[in-house]
Amino acid sequence: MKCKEILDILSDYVDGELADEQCHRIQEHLKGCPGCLEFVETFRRSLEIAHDLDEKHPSEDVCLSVLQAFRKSCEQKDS
Amino acid sequence: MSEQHLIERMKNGDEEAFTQFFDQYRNTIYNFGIRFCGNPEDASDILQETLINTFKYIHNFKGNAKLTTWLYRVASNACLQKRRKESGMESSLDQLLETSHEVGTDSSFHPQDKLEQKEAAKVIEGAILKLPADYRIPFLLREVERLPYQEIADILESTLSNAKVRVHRARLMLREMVTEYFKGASSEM
Repeated sequence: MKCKEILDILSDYVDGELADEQCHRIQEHLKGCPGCLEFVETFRRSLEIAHDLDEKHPSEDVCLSVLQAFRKSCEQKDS
Repeated sequence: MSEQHLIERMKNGDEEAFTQFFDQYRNTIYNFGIRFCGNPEDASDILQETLINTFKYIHNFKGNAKLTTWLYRVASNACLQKRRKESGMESSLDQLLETSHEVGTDSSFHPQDKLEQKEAAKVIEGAILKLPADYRIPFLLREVERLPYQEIADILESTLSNAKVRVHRARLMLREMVTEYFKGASSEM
């Protein structure tokens, strides 16, 4: 397997969508290619961090303000 | 109340049903909005636009998709309306990198395993904001909202393969940006 081939199927690989045989070929390539190994690790690590980002919630003030704007919009539609 | 009943009430213009709908989905929409635009003000606007447009267009919802799929589509459109303001966000990653390099002067710093989670999260947040909008939305749907590719395709009104390609390219772009940061930090060790 060539480095370019890894790049093309990397998402399928980290998503676990490849057949066992193809995964095995990638793993064999990574054993002998430090460049690809580093690439795959950084790729995977950046996704792990994205998965773990804190969920942001709107404040109560924001919610009140949005609901007020919504009601105003409804009134305008009705009038 | 079942989702179907809630939708019926919303279609009949029941404002109370919209309030319930808002309470149920406000965190999801706001989080999606803030990950797209990077600031609370725009995220609030996206939340507001999404609610108002849901009210306006709920009669178009035919029920052959999940309500959340349709809702993400409305929210995505609200996000895209914010695109024109993106020029003001271009410096986000640069600013983050500047701050992050200060941490990189620690001789024990190693980006692969010693980077503080908070620090890494800031860099990723900044990098996501640098993704082109057409790639940022599918990336967020996949990596932050953790949706399956078929649902992402339904939200984007694209094919499954197109959704997969956009997520893959977004991941590669993100990795490229983060790698630059990692290298910058390492070079100061």
